[in-house]
Amino acid sequence: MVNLRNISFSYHRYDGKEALPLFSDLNFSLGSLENALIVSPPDSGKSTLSRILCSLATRHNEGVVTGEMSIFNTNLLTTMPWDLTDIVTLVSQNSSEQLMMSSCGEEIAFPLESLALPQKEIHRRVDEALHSWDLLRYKERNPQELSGGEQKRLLLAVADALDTPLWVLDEPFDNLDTQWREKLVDLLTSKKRSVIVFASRFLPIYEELFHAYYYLDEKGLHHSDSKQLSEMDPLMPLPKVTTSVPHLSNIQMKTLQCKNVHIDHTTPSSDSKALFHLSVPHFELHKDEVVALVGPNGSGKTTFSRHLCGLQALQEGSITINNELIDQFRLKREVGYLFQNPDFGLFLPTVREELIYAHRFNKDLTSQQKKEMVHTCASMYHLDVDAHPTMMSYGSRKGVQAAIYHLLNRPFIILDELDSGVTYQRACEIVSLLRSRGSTLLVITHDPMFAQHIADRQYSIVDGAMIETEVGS
Amino acid sequence: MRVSTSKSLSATHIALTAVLTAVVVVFTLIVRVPTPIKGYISLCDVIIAFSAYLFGPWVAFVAGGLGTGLADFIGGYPQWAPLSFVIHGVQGLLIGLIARKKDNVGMFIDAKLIRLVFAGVVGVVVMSGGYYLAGGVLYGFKTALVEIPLNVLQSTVGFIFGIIVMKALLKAYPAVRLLRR
Amino acid sequence: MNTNLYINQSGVLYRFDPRAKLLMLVVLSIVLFLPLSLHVLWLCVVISMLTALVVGRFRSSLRPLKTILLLLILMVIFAPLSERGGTIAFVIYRNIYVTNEALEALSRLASRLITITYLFTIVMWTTTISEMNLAFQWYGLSYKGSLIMSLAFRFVPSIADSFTTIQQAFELREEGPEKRKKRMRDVLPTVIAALVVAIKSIPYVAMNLEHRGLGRDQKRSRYKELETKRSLVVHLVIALIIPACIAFVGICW
Repeated sequence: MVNLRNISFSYHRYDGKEALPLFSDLNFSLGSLENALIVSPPDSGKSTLSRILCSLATRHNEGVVTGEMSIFNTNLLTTMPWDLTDIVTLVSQNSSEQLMMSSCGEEIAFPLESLALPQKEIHRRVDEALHSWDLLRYKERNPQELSGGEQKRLLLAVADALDTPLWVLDEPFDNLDTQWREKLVDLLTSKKRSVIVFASRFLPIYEELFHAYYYLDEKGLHHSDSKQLSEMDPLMPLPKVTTSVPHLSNIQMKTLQCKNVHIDHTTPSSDSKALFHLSVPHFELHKDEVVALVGPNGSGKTTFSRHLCGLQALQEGSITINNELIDQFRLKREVGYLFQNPDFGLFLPTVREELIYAHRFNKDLTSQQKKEMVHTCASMYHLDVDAHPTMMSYGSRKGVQAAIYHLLNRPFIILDELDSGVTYQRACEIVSLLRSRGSTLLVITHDPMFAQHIADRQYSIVDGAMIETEVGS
Repeated sequence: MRVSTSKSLSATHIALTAVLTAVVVVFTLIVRVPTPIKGYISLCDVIIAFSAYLFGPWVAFVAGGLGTGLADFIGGYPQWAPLSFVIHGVQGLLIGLIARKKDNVGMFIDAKLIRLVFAGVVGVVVMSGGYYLAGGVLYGFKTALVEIPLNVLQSTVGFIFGIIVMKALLKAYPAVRLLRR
Repeated sequence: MNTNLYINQSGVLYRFDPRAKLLMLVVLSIVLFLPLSLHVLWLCVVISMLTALVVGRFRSSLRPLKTILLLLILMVIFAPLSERGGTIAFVIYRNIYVTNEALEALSRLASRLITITYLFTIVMWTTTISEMNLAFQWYGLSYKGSLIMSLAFRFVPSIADSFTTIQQAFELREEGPEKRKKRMRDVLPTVIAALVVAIKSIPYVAMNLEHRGLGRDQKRSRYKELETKRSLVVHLVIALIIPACIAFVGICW
């Protein structure tokens, strides 16, 4: 039985401004053996709430929690997280961040050691859990070598081995193949425990799995139903961009072509470090368009992108821009790449400094002009110029990343998994803004609906080959 | 084996030390800056000094010692691991002891620049002196003399950039102060 | 980044208890500093190189030598500078001569260095990191220390990856022509960004550890441990006898 009453949470702030509550006056209750689904748009606090349920959020100075919380009549506010190890298990959204040990067996054994179980019992549970999730052959392997889906299965195996009465799962169906989704559905309907699932979007598979459906946003936690939830975060029309950043040099629109490119790439997991092959017979980016690139995990999208922006040299095939063969080093100045993780590259104290950084040696602009440029750009992306980029929300950090590129001169920009971790609205905003700059965009995504909404053309990776397909397939 | 609760087994302390140790390993093996004198200098001393200034002597001792030891091991020259462990461990420990300033509550607070520099210089002496003595025993004192300029350069660059990086990090990511218990 | 230098095969050295292996390594290293005869020292070199040949493949058995090659060359070059006041062995040029004593010192230092290098490498090839961790614990390393060691080992590849990716993100962010020289100042942004990413992960690592039960009042049980069987005593005795024999023979010869 989980009970939350009048829960408020606010993050610490380091810039002297008043702490805005992430959520306030939140109420939630769950009976034993019941399941609940909480849908929450990105950056609304779902991961924080999932950690609060395990008594984790306040210990590491994330912020302050007030209210009353209890799980199975244990007061969460006064209980240490390690005393909840046999009561609640959390499976985070980002699997690799939750994995601590150097072998899969040890990963499962670690919490069992904490519970002081006898050695024989630990070995039995480890083997059983690994077997149940088909990971027995990875028992001595390093979890970091596993694919995203296998890592998620490993975390679920840990939950299985602990067999706690409450599971808190953050985006559990992410990265799982059909076979394992079905197993998870079985676990949810088995009535052996309570499960709270957090998700950023309602998936059809959630239908009829839960006793209660909720929606979490900055106003609080609201009861909902599956129909309402499936209509949240709709794909709105792409926003029109009316302002433009002053003093920026115009981007010369160009076309890019790949011919007969063949790429060998490795992908984590599988029993061998086999080389996979991606062939790209013909790939084109025209002026002023948005192209989507869709393909399953491990199909080589990221490796292809790295070749396209000059981080890796082509072994076979050619890349031309405006029909001129272009070398690896010039590619870096023509093709930009927004990594999926926006933190790769943030190091300055304020947004203003990050945006000015590329223009620090630019002698064509006065410092007043540079300031105007930066301020206009920041407001277009809804960023506070004085904020610390490293401490902003995920969606804002993605915005900083995009704003940085907005101020560069890149005829082509690759956006890797832009829509993961941000709302559709934010993602579409970024696409519109970068497009208004004059760049041609290549958007890598898993989501065919998103692709259909924003792209003019689409390439899909099918059986190791990249071919042009219908948008949204 | 008794496991004590609360502070001594604090998970934050363990996590902090482990991550910094891994950063030292990476900086010893991957991050190299070309120099005119002898090819490359490794940047491990930057992180050792940084850890000492920001987090104190014990964290720097483990990060410096275990980090460089592991790096030697992973890099394929395990015979130096025990030496690196002792020398860089003591380097981190001393820099931390000298540069550390605690307030009434026991939290580390920013020391004055002069103190940081003095601590760094002691680190230079320990590191290059330590390698000179160990090297002398292992391969002759005259031969060990050759390494001294390089080691002095590496550890001096190390603490100077340790100070720069520390100040830049405090500005870029103020929340790091919360780890300084 | 390849953090695994363990060569996965079977053999006598693999069955040798890691605690005994560490003991023998330490004692042997100390013995090599005793006044042994040069013959015995060079015999040790031969034996250790042959062992490396058996354990590693042919090409990798020369790798330890390559790591100290430059050092050996330097030692040879500096030989004329040591032990000046002895009997001259030969003259190189006018005042630059090499004494017999210098040659002996060089021989002693070189053989010792090569042997130690090979001994450490062989132990590294035949012992996994987790075995070593368990052995250290048996010798007194606290649980906290061993946990730090295994966590650090786990984080090295991911921090290394984020470092190289961050470096690339910065390369892509520059305007203007590709810079020729890489100076210290250019590495700074990457260093700071990489540190931010690493430090940001610390609270999450701590949360994971606590969530998985670190800090409970009960004493932790053990998933893996080195058993204390009677064979351990045998191994430990062997670990002491071999260096003792070498010491005995070396001093008396």
